[in-house]
Amino acid sequence: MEKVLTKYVGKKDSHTLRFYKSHGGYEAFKKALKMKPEDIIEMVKQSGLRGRGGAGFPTGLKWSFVPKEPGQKYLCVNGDESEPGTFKDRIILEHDPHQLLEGCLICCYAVGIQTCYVYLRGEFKLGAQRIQQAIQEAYEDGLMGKNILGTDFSCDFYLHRGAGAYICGEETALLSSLEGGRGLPRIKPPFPAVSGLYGKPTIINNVETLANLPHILNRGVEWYTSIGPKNNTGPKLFCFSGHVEKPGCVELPMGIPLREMIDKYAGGVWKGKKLKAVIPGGSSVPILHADECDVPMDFDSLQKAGSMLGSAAIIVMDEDTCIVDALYNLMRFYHHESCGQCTPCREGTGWLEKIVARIEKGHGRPEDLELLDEIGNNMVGKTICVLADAAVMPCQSYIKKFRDEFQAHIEEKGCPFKKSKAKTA
Amino acid sequence: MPREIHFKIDGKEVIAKEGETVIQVAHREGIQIPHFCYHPGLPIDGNCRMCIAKFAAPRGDKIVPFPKPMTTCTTYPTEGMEVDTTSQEVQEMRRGIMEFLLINHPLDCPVCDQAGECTLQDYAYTYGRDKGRFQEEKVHKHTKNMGKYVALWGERCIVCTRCVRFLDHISGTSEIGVVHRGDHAVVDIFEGHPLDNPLSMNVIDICPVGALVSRDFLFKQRVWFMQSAKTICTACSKGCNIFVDYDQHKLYRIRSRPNLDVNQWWICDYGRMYYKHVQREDRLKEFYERQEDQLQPKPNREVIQNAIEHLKNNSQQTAFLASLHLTLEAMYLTYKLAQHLEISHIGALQNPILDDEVFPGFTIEGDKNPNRKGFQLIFGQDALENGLSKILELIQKQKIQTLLLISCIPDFQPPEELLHALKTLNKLILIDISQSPFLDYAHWALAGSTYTEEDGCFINSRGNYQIAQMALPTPGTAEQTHAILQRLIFAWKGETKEPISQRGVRKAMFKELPELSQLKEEKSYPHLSNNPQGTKAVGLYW
Ligand SMILES: Cc1cc2nc3c(=O)[nH]c(=O)nc-3n(C[C@H](O)[C@H](O)[C@H](O)COP(=O)(O)O)c2cc1C
Ligand code: SF4
Ligand code: SF4
Ligand code: SF4
Ligand code: FES
Repeated sequence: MEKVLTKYVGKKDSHTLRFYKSHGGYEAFKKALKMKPEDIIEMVKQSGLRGRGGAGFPTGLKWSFVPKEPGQKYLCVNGDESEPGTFKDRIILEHDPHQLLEGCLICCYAVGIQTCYVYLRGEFKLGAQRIQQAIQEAYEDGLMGKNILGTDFSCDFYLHRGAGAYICGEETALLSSLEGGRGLPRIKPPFPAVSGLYGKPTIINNVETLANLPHILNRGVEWYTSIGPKNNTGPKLFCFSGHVEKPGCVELPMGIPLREMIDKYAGGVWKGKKLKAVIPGGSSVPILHADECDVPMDFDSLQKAGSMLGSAAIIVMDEDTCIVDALYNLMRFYHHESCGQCTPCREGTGWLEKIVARIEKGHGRPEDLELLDEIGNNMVGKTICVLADAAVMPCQSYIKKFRDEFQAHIEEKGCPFKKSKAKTA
Repeated sequence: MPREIHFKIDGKEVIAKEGETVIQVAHREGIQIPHFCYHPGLPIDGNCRMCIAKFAAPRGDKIVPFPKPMTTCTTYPTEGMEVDTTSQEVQEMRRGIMEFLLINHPLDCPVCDQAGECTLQDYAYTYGRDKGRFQEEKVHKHTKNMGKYVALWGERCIVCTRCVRFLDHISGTSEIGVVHRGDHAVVDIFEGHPLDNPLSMNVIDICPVGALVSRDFLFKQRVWFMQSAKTICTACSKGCNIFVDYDQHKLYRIRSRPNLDVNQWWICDYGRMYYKHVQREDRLKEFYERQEDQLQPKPNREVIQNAIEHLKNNSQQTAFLASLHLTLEAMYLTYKLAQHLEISHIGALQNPILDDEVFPGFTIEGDKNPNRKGFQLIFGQDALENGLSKILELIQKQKIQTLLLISCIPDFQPPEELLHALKTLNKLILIDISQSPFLDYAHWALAGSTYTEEDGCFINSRGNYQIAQMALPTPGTAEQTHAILQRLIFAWKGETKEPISQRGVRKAMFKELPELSQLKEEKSYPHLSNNPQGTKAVGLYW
């Protein structure tokens, strides 16, 4: 497939305005400025663009929830990218920041927004530098600020760096953090499109989502919808990590079977080993057993298969991976990242971790697996944000799909993988 | 007209006013929904998830269930909505929440001050399991003093943020915040910035568990041994509604009693610590007469008799000073006594008026006198404003030589001019509650009652009267102030009757004085503070 989002990745000075403009940059925005805002929203709806932040929510539809009346509104770019296994937004931020900013300008113009915050995870040092520089270049070139390109559209841009909390990627926690408070998710409704940052209508979109916009404007709906299956359109970035020969970020259309993707674009499972399991969409989604891996990689097919496309982070596990240990690692992560605001997640994530740790260390009890499942049920759907669900989904799916392995840990009072390693050593 | 929303809670048709959430309507309708973080006086946070319920709403001609349960404290009802707060499924969810709340909880109820009035304990009876499933090591958190009056047991904290929200929105002082994340989350203060604003102890009332506790009350008494008098604070003119908690021997603490018109859910720390004077060592517990320049204890009757004899014979040179701390009944009886003795000089004794202390959600009134309006009604504006200075002048001119001084103001600092004037008096007859500079000049000293020892009424700064409720009797041979005044009147009449109750006095007073007929009684809000557990001390339940 022709590269769209990552076409210029790796090219010298791809992050500069000069480079971007000499490759047709900001032409889409100029085109947008000549259109009626509602026509742009309609066009984005027609394109079928779905949010790349994890939930796959239709972007045009989200925009249409913002009240039409004039007044202070915000765009917050979600560049917190903290879902384990995910490193796609980073590529855009570091290599093609203007692609993102042009997308932001299109969104702001279409929705009637005059202030845009780019929220980046604290660890993105280079990304932050590049965005800061790009914003400065754009201001100097009259692409941001007052009366952009001589029109009566004005829009200001600010970079904000987070302090390194996974939860600040959750859209409402991002708002709390941006306002200077603890990164605590907020109760919805009200949804941010109605009452978001400082109580004003706010759009929160993922970096990759916004980077799609210039291309939709430039090349049209028909072109865009020709990429990928129906309802899962447009170019998509996939992140391969784990036990593959060639980990990395690859741009592909959606709908390619998972197994084929791993073999063709990530060099296959490493060291010639057998595939055991794959997390198809970032650590928060249910795991797939090796024999479920023919599923096409798009939002709808994965949902049907009982998992999710999520952030499209494909984490591959080979036959020597201890699933219990892998789960323990994730449970530690969610326990550490729970904001602690609401009861089921605050208490549940720690409890899950402690039990899984015990099983991995050989102190599991036969009743633990039932208990883990019930704790999960008591968490899912009863919390302020879905971090709780994100912690429970791996836990319940790992146990469901690899129950034998958990049972072996309990019965043998230890980790069979560690034992076999010790023997071979 | 505000919009009304018709919907159903557990099949019951109810009506919400615009802006009300489901839990508010439920509580108004007497439907209890368990909750920790929701508090009617604070902004909503929705963090504990205990008030969770199932919802359905009409779509077309069908009632469609919502995919997820929602919290009733955060959900605004819509027309035709149906809320289920009682089904098996909802109860199971609550059981789940309760289990989470308890896994890292120390469960040290036997040594916890909150036990017996603990929301966590109460709900654990209803929604707890008989056996814990949590076999892991619990999380450990700090125990520390947060400020002068408040201590924290961090491990008992359920992170409901009621305290945080109170300090952010009502006192506006924001001393407490949540620190750490996940199950390590707990409240704390900033280093070097203790919780010491004058509303600080409200966090003890609103903390649903034994995390924030009173350092004053700590380990003093188990709550089920106490009873609560529903009474009025007299530390200032606001007249906050309070509970005085006591057993047969002593008072232990003051708590706020909700009254939406007067003090909402709050009281100040001055009021909370005000009870201390009641049982201090320096209380006057007997009646005295001066002999050979020493105050000697004497039987009450003898002191009354001797005092009234003196008053009768010297009424022309006598003035009365009554304090703004007396009950309306005591003021009325003072007025009656003055009438009988034909006393024309009456003045007011009062604490100086300070500035109001204004907080975003509460004002502590600067007038540290609980019954200014009462005095004004009984004795008139002139007596209130000029009475004292006129009397001082007359004492200086030796026209007044006897003074009946009814103070009963705790820790009163008399003005210098008054003390100076007392030196030149022939006889001072004093009714007071504790040792004070007045005692040095008193010829007769009669031990009266404090605010927790009477059932009298006070008129607050809003101009409405409220009736106090007695907790404990007066100490020693001290008597209720109104009773002492009755005895003086009876002695003047030469009668040997026993004093009637304060309520009886009140009835007579309202009948006799037309000025009082326009008075309104302040509304009370008993439904905000009933007693679900059946312990004697009244629990706060909202
Ligand atoms: C715990 C949690 C973490 C999240 N982290 C991110 C993130 O790092 N980046 C992101 O774009 N979206 C993240 N999301 C999703 C956002 O809440 C939100 O759905 C997304 O930013 C919307 O943008 P989109 O519509 O463009 O996908 C997270 C959600 C949850 C519940
Ligand atoms: S679900 Fe977890 S992360 Fe989300 S608000 Fe509740 S405690 Fe915080
Ligand atoms: S807070 Fe309540 S449940 Fe916890 S120890 Fe104290 S009384 Fe027991
Ligand atoms: S200390 Fe009490 S009021 Fe404050 S958050 Fe903890 S449980 Fe709630
Ligand atoms: S009372 Fe509703 S969530 Fe706490």
